[in-house]
Amino acid sequence: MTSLNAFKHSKVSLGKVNLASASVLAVMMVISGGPVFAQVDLSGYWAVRIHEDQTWRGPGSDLGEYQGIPLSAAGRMKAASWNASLNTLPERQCLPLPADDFTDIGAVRIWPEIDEATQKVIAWHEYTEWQAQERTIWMDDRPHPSEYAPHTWQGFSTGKWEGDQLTITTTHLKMAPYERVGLYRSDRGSLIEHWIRHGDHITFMVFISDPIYLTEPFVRTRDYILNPNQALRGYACTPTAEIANRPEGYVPHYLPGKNPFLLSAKRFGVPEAAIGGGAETMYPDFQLKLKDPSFASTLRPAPAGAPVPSTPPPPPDLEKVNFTVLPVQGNVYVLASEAGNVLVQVGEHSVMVVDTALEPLSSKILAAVKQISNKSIRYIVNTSYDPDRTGGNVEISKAGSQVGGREPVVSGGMPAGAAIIAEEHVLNRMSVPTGVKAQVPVAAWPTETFATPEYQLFNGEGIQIIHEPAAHTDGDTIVFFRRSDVIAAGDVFSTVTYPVIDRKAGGSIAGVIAALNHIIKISIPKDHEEGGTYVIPAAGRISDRADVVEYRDMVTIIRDRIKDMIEQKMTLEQIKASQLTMDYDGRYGAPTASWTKEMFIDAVYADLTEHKTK
Amino acid sequence: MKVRRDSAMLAAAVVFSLVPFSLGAQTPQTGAASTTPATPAATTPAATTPAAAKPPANAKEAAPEDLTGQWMAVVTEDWRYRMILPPKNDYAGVPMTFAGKKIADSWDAAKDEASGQQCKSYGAPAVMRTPGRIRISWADEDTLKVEADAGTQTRLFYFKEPKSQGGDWQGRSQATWETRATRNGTGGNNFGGGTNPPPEVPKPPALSGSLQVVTTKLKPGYLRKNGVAYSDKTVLTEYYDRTKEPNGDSWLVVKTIVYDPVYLSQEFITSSHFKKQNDQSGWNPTPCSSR
Repeated sequence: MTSLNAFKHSKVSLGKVNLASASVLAVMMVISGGPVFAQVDLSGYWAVRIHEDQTWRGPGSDLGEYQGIPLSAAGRMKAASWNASLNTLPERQCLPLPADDFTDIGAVRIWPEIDEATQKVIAWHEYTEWQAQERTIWMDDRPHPSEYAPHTWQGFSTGKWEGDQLTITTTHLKMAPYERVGLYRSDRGSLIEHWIRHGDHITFMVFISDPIYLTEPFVRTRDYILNPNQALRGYACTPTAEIANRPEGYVPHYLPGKNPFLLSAKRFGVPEAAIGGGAETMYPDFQLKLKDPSFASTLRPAPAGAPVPSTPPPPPDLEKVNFTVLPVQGNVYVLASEAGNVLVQVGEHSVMVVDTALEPLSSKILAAVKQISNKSIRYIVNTSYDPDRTGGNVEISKAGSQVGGREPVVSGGMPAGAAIIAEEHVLNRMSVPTGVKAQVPVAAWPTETFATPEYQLFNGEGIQIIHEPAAHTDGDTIVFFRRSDVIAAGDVFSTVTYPVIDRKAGGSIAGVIAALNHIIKISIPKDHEEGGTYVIPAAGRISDRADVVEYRDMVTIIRDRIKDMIEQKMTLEQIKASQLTMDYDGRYGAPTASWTKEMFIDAVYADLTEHKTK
Repeated sequence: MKVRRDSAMLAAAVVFSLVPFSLGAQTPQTGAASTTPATPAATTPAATTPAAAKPPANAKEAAPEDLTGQWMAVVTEDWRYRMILPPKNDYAGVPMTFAGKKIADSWDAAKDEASGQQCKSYGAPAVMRTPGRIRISWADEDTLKVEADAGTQTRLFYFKEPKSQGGDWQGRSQATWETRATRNGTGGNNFGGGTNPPPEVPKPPALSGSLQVVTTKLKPGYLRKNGVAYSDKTVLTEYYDRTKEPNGDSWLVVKTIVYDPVYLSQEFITSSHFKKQNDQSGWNPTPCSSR
C-alpha cells in the first residue's frame, strides 16, 4: 500500500470489480429486497455535451470576465494579477483540471468498485480523458483524512445517496483554477456535487465553496449522454522550457492596477458593472439594474470575503498539543501538530528526527517515535536555531544513542546521546563564548556542524542536509531523504503563514525565494504535478511540489509588489495601507503567536530597501 | 415524502421495471445515446403479487417531491447569452443546422417588435433559461402550474391527458413522475404519462424525485434572444430535480433537452438551476422583450 492510500484510511480490502449481468442483479434485488447498486446505476461511458458555457469551456472567457461568479474582493484581486504566461512555466504546464472542472470538457467513464464479500459498492470511480484524470468517490462511510494529509487536484470524495441523487462531498483539494482566467478556488475550499441520471442522460451539478475567494457557493451544471461505444484516450504531459532564457524563479503576474485586459469583455457588450463579478451579478434583479445606464457603466466594488483574524491567537497550550502520526512515504513519517511538524525517518538500525519542537513536547515526541519504531534515535537535525526547531534537543538526544560510526564529541559535558546535526550558524546562534552563561543549555547545542553547502549521511538511505543561506535565518537547512523522496523544508516553507523572515538572524526575502526555488528544482512530481517528492513544511500539511510552487509564486508576487511600490517612492505606511496582500491574507495572513502579516511586510520592505541602498 | 420504500414495494417496482412496454411519453433519441440495450423480462412471484398498498389517487398525491414554491434563477452559466442581449451571429454552443443558422443570421429584434413577436424567446424551450423567478403550484390535483415572471408566462404540466392543444409559446406539456427504472435507462413506466400504461401491469410506486415533462405543439420561437431558432417540430423534454444542501438550502435543477429536426443537428441540452426562496420576494412580472 502506498502512503497516499494509507491516508485514505482504507477500512476494507478492495475487491475486484465484478459486475454481474443486469438480470442477475435484478433477481438479487428481488430476493434481498435491496438493490446491489445502492440506488441508480451510474456506470458507463458518458459523452460530454458542451451546449452551455461553450465559450468558457472551449476557447475560454476573456481575461477579466468574472460576471456571474460570486467573487470576493480577494478573489477578484487574485484573478486580476493572473497572467496567462504563468501556464508556460515548466512547473505549471502539466497541472490538470481539478475536481471542480472534472466534467467540463472531456468524455468520462464511470464504474463501481464492489466489495467481493458483501457485493456492496464501496466506491465510484470516474475517469476523464481530458488530461487523463481519475477520481474516487468512497461510498463506505470512511472519514475524511487528517487536516495534515496531502491535498490533491481531485481531493478526497465521499458519496451518499439522497433519493436518486448521488451527493458527493470533496475536501483536501489543492488550490486550483475553476476558470482559465485566474479564477481560483483556494485549498480551503470544498465541493458538494449531485449526480443525477435520467435514462441516457446525466447531469453533474457542483457547488464550489471557498471562504477566501468566493462569498457564496459557485454553482454549475454539466450535461452528458450515455455513449457505450465511446473510446477514451490517454494523456501524457512532458514539461519543457517554452520561453527561453527566463531567470530561475520568474513568476509572470500583473501588478495591482496594471492588468490591461480587465475590461476586454466589453467587446461582447458585457456592462462594466458586471465584468468584475460578485454574487449580485448572478441574480435576476441585477439584470433589471443593468437597464440603468449609469449603473451599468460603473465597475462595482467586490464584496469582502470572510474576515481575516487580526489579533494573534494565544500560544498553543502545550499540555493539550497532540501529534498526529502520518506516514509520508518510504521510511519517513511526520508528527504533525498545531505547534509545528517533526519528521521521523527510520533507517536499518536507527531513527533520525528532524527538528525537536518546543521543549515541553519532548515526551510526546518520544512517545510518537515509539509508535513508529523501537530503534534507537541516532540522529537529530535542526533545520534552524529557533526554539520550536531545537527545544527538544536535550531530551530527545538523551533518549537516543550513537550506534557505531562516529561518536559524538563528549568533552565539555556533552551527553553521548543522539548526534545533533546543524549548519554551523545554528551552533553560533545557540552557543556563547567560554565564560558567558548560555541562554540555551549546552546539551542542546548541535554536536556536529558543517559550513559547507551540504552535509551527507546514510541512515538506510542517502540523506542530504542542504544549507539554504540567508533564508528564514542564516542557518537554515532542508533535509532530503533520497530513497524515500521526501524533503523536510524547515521554516522556508509553510502552508499556514507568510514566510517568517528573521532578519536579525540573517534571514532575507531573497534567500526564502531562493530556497523555495531550490526545493522546486530538486522535487520531481509523480504525475500531473502531484505526488512524487513530498515536502514537509515547518507547519501545516504534507505537501508536494505543486504546493511549493503555489507558495513560491505567492511570495514572489508579494515581493514584486512591494518592490514596485518602493520604486514608486511609497512609504512603508502607504504600502501597508494599500492592501497589497489582500488576495493572500485569507490564506496566510492570520497572525500567529509570533508572526503577523505586518511583520512580513516590514521584513520584505526593510530587506528590499536595505539591499537597494547597498 | 410520500414515497413508500419498503422492500416489497421496491421488489415489485424493480420487476415491473424489467417488463418491456412502450413509454407513455417517448423522448426522441439521436445517435449513440439511444442504444441502451433492452433488458429481458423477469418472471418472479413478486411480479404477480404486487404489494397491496393503495395506489396514489392523483399526481399530487403521488408526488415524490414537493416542487411547489418560488424559485430564483441563479445565472452562473451562459451569462452573456442570458443576462444581456447577445450579439448577432454569436451562437456558441448551439448545434445548429444550416437552416437554423440562416434563420438566426437574419434575426432582427426591431422586426420582431414591430410584428408583436417579442415573446419569441420566452417559449417553453427557452423560458426556464431566462433570468427571473418561477412559481410552481398545483393548478388542480393532476396539473402542475409553472409561472415565470420574466415575460409573464404560464406553463401547465398535465399528468393526465393535456387540455391544451398547443400552438402557442408554451405548447402542450405531458408530465410524469419518473421511476428509478426510467432513470437507469432500462425502460419501464412512469406514473402519469397520459394514455398507455398497460392495464395488466400494476403501477409502481414513484421511486424517483424527478418530474419529467415532454412538450410538443410549440409555436416557433428562439432558444436565445439573438435569433437562435426552434421550429414547430420541436419536442422538448425536461427533468425537474430538487436538491437538499447541507446548509438547508434547496435547489431546483431543470434539465432541458430540445429536439428539433429542422434547426438543430442534435439535441440541445442545458441545465438551469434555481434556488428555493422561503418567501415571495422579488416576484416581478415583466412583459416580453426582444432585447
